[in-house]
Amino acid sequence: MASAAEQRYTLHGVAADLRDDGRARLDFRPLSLEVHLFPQASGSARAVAGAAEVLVGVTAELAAPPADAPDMGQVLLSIDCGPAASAARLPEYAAAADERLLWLEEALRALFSRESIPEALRTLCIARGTQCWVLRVHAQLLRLDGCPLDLISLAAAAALAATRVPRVSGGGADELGGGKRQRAAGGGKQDLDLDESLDESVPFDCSTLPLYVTLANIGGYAVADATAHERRAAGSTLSLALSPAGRVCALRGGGGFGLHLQLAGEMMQLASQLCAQLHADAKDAIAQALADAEGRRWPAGEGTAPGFLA
Amino acid sequence: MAVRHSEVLSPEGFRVDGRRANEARRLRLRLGASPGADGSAYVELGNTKVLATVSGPHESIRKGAHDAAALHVELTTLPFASGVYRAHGRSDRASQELCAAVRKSFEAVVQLHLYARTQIDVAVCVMQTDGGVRSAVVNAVTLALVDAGVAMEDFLCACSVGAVGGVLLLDPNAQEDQAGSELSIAYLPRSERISAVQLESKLPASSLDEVMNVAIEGCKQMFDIMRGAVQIRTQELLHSRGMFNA
Repeated sequence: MASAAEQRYTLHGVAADLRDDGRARLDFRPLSLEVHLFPQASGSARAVAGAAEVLVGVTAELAAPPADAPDMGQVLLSIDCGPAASAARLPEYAAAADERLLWLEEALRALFSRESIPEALRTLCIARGTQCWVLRVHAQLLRLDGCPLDLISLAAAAALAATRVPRVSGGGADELGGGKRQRAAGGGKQDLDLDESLDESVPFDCSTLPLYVTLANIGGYAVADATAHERRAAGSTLSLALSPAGRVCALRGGGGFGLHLQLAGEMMQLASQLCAQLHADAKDAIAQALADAEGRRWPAGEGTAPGFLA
Repeated sequence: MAVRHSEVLSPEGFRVDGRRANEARRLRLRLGASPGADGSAYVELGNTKVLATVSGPHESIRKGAHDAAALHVELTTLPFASGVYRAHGRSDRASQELCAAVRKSFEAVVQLHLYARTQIDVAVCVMQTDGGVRSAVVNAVTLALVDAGVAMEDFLCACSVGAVGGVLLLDPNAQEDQAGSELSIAYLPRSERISAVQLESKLPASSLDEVMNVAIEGCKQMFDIMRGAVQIRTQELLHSRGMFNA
């Protein structure tokens, strides 16, 4: 808990548009992004912003599509934050520490729902009504600081951008292509050929994935990408998830004594402007991370060490 | 299921991943991998990847012994660690057993009496598993405790040996692990003692001596690399304070 003097210091800094770490009110912390860390996962990413760090891994599974959406695959998300005690350091979304993780999971699931990314989910369908890919995305919060929603949504987007699923063709197809083929009798209805070679794999289309932006209300000012320290001085927060096309996919707000209606409106406006900027920056960062992974000759490369060794 | 010699070693004497029988996988280490923690270490043993972070010694929250520090170990295995999605709960039996074993080994090595009425928390995150998880975890915890500056009697180095089809394989990977029995050992290299030993499945009693010797040789190799990493890290720290020029 921050003392009254510390809170006042934060408030004055925000009012003067100069925060503890030298940022202006609407500046984000510099982001470091890496992809392709784990050869055994279908996709993986690590995002570091300030003192916050998230690790995301994706595993692809074959399953039957949901009955109410026979032509769509699924993206399922889970979140954990290491030792049991560390959930208490999450922002106070809920009173109990373990409910905060559930809150986060719920808020982030909205990003990968059928309503928000229908086209991308349709590409995961293999055979209508019988076979589809399920991408299980797991985000591990290694270090917490500030706005986990923003960082997780970004890291998940990067991991999904790096995700490749094996190309699948219907049973009895011609045996062209050099890759090792494996027969998967999935669902018991149709034989499928999985092409396990990397060249033949299909990338996941993540061009429509939404991203979260969290604005904190500190002394009547909207502050982007608040640190844990700043959040203690914040009254309420507003998190807005926007798709690259500018459509709102999810909205979470609350805390403190609530938001004044007028300020809430202003913050939504600001958040949607920032989100457009964030999408552009994220796209560049992800492209750069993919190029870096290429540079160290993923997956067999012995080049510069990625991730925790760097 | 019996496994033939030729399935484990090629006629030229190479294993499935191209190593010889007495070769361990590449061990890559980094101390201080998690900047916010009091101590941390990242260990990569081939494709097995483990991050250990230490927080403490700090004031004890729980009531413990009044004359020694309490050591807490928590282990998380990420659901995507093995390539197949598997949610590991906190009450996962295998991880609980590993936690208890790690805690027991380190309680004897860490000089707990120096930190009376405090607790030391160790959090281990197993990111990828490909055989040798137990060894990687022990080595990572040792290095994280060293990085945190916690006083210890000795390094604790671990290594495993697989006995598959009558061949002894140092540091088996997951594939070799499943094919035969595995003995893993935690060794104190400077005092030359065995801290813990665990054998999965059966092994002829006559070959136990040989297996132990191979494992201890492996531990000594691990120790050399670990000591090197600690020296490099210490030099970096001295360097950053302008106290050392080499």
